[in-house]
Amino acid sequence: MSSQKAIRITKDLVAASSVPLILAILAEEENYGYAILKRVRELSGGQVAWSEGMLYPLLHRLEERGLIRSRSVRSKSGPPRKFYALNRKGQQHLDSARVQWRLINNTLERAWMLGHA
Amino acid sequence: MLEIDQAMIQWRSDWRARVPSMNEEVLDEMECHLRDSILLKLRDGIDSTTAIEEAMAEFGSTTELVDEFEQVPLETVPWWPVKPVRTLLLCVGLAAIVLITQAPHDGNSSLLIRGHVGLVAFGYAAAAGVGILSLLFLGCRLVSDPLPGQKRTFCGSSQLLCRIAAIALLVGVALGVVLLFASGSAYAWMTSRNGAVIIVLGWALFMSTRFRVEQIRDVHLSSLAGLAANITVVYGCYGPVMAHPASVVGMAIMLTILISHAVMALSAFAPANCLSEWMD
Repeated sequence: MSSQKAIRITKDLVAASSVPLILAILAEEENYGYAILKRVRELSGGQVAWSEGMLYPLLHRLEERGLIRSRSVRSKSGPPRKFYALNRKGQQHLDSARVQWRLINNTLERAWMLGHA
Repeated sequence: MLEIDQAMIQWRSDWRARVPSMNEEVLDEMECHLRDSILLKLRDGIDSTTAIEEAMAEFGSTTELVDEFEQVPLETVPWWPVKPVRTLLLCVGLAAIVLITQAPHDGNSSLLIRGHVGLVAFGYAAAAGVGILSLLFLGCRLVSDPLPGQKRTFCGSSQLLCRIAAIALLVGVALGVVLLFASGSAYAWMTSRNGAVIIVLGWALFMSTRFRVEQIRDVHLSSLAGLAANITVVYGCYGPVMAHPASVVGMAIMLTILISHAVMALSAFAPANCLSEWMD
């Protein structure tokens, strides 16, 4: 766990960034809900903390849109584990989102530089 | 571990009480998450009661989650095989009705016999439609797993065809029973081999499982029931059907039903997208 305190991200920003973030994590490898959340924490250095349960409606929404697919894998203890993977449509969506977020990020960086100049 | 199991049972029953229509697969998935979270806390040396409480709190409030899940669109998405199968069924049904009502009959023919044969044939055609739909579903699934909305379309269409088959077969069988009492002979049934009761029971099993189809795993289960039902049908009707002028069509329909249900039942073990992954 990071010693830094988790920053409370506004709901709007979470909603906007969660889809490309999840798609990017799934582009790395097939994964399940808990591991996706752990990866989010790792990538943010423990500073981005979502309400854990909220991940699941989002994953289901992405699956409904055909961006990701799922499969159930039997578990030795407890119920079957559901793994998610990126679809071709999801990869295209991620590529497009990456370009858009880079543009927004660069624009914001420049805008903040102006404020400090 | 016992404490965790009990907590999970309680958590699931709370969910079911709040949202009776909650999908069991979603509950399974969320339970997996909670168990992972609790186990990690136990490994960190936290006692089980605290670990469970903390994991539940971090998971978030049920009320908020229910709202979020309600916002997930659960629409049916058009799935191409449904249209040709429905059209095919319509054509087969009309052709069967026209053939049976228009074809010359021998002296024993009557409206009762023609009605019985027509409705039972249509019922089988509808069941064959379910089977063909299942085969197409499996074929599509091997290449690219259909979207959840497409799976709902498949389940819904499968249910509709089963209702048509059930009504047609029920009325057809009822006419057959009337015929039995009227003439003393059962048309196209070899009661000495197994009797109509087994066939009707088999079909009732198939239909009852098909009517509950809401998820794909139900389709696999109902296909197993369908397979069992159709084995009895083929066994019982083989002799009389082969003796009938339309035997080839009759047996083809029966074999289609039989094979398609067998394949669909086995498809539970075939991983989705395996063909496309293999081709990649």
